[in-house]
Amino acid sequence: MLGKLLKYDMKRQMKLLFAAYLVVGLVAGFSAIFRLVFRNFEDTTGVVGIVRTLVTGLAIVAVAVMVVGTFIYAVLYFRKNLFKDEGYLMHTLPVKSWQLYMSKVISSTLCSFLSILVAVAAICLAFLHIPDVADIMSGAMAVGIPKWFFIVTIIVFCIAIPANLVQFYVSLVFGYTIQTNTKTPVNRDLMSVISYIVIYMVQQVAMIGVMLVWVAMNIGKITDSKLMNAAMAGTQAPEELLQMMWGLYAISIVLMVLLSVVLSVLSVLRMEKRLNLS
Amino acid sequence: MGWKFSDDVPLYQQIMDGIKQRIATGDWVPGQKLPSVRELAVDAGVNPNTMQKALAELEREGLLYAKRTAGRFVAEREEIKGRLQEEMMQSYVKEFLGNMESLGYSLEDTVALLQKISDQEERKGE
Amino acid sequence: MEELIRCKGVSKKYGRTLGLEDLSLSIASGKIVGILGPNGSGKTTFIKVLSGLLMPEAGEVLIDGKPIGTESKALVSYLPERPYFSDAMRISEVIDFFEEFYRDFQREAAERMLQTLGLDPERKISALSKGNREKVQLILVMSRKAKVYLLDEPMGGVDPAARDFILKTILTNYNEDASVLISTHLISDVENVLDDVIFIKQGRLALYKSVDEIRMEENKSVDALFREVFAC
Repeated sequence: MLGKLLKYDMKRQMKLLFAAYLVVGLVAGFSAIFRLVFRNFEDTTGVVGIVRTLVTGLAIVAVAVMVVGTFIYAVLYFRKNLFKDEGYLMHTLPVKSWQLYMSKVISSTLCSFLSILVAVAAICLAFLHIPDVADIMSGAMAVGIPKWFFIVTIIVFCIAIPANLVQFYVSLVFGYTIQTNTKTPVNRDLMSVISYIVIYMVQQVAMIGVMLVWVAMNIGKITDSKLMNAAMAGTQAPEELLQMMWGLYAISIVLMVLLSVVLSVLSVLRMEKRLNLS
Repeated sequence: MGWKFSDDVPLYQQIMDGIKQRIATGDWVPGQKLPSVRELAVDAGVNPNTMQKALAELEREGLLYAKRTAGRFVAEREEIKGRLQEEMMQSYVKEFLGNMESLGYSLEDTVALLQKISDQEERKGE
Repeated sequence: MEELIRCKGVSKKYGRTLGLEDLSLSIASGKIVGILGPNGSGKTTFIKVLSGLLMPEAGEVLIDGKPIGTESKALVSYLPERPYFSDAMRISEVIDFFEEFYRDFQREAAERMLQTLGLDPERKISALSKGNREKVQLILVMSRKAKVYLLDEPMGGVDPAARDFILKTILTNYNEDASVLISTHLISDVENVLDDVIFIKQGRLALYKSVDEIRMEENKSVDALFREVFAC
């Protein structure tokens, strides 16, 4: 059933995204063509230069809108499909609540990744330039930044996307399952926003807590002036410093994942017990 | 096949009356095979269980009979039709006389009125 | 004829207002039952509980012996009062959707009914009139070979011809292993089609009788009795 839901959710979201990708592709392509045609113009301040900047700028804006829009649409789709009229259909399907929820998380995460890939490709196209990743990496490694740094950064980035989606989804679930004792109808979107703020604050507090723990654990190294001077000089990243960063990274990842899981479990349970469509 | 129902008498009784009428008028002939319960129900716009109840009652009264796999049929005997017609005529006349009485017409007045109307119809025909 | 739906002591509160209070009843299969009551009486709450959209605070609900959950949802075909398809979908896509998620869905029956009504499956839901949209929803719900059909106000705001179509569809799909629950306040329209009626008043079961019983005992139609019982 999860597969069927995934297929459906992907189809629904891709319908819109495909159109957006097309537009982005066109704008980026236009920028590419412009650069190609005027590639021999050195003058960057004349008319050609200004127009080129504008065209490329437009492509960047389109890409940004597309990426942000993907995320916003994912959240709105969750709300529309599960808590508006369509919810009457979705919640009476012979599927479990957690399947409805996970299908949204997975499909929206996939769509977000896809949009990011398209964004990167579009930017490269717009600038008619593919950055030499190997070159950048070796340059960084020369300064002492190890390979794992890149890997971990990518992992954190990849986890951050669904983690953020989850935060929005959970806020919507709590906002829309609020039970009041008054007869006056409560604005559920407002409740969702409030839920989000609460969850965000909780997350920040947790992060600060983690930071404090980390500082306490590494208090010795932080107060070691020799180490700090070497780090400030920026010539070489010392081994111990890297170890500390690695620790911080690891804890952050674990915290993000834990929070996402806990929030997800809570909201699935909430949907099961307290669902009450308008 | 038009079915007309009033809402204060049990439906199954009204259905039974409706079927008796069809048999009496010759709309449904003896030995005729009836459509399925569901078809009859859909046609009359009534609950199939109600239709089933009416048909079962009519079976009990001997107006219909069922052959196990073949379905339901109108009873073969011609005298059924006669009997039904007799029953219906009685009830029509009783109802008519009752209505006339409520208007203040005695039996003689009613008979005289009937004669008068019948003469008028004859004269129109000439 | 087995017991298809069983409720025991079902209660649901909305904050301080009572939706349902200690509702207990049993509905056998092969019945067409009217759930009648004014707005806010709890009949919509009752239907939502049966469909799995609302979890009661107390009490037990069994559908064909199964508690409310994915198994019961597979047996229940629910038609809500409101449109519940995405506007952007075409009728054919909605059919695909039902076929995908409901094992008991009968595609040919749905397509046949659409054809009878002259509705082109390639049209978008958003392009349909309100009446046609409701008919499509009804067709899809009735095209499932479910055990329980829950129809919430299927005839509100629909023209008389459409109402006839709806009643005819319900009767044509009748089968002894299933039951149809119709929640409505347009009683005179459905009376002839009902086996039994359930009156829900202020969240409680006020009456549960067969239509015949009511007509014989009270000498009036269900509609008339309803007006009496629920007189303001």
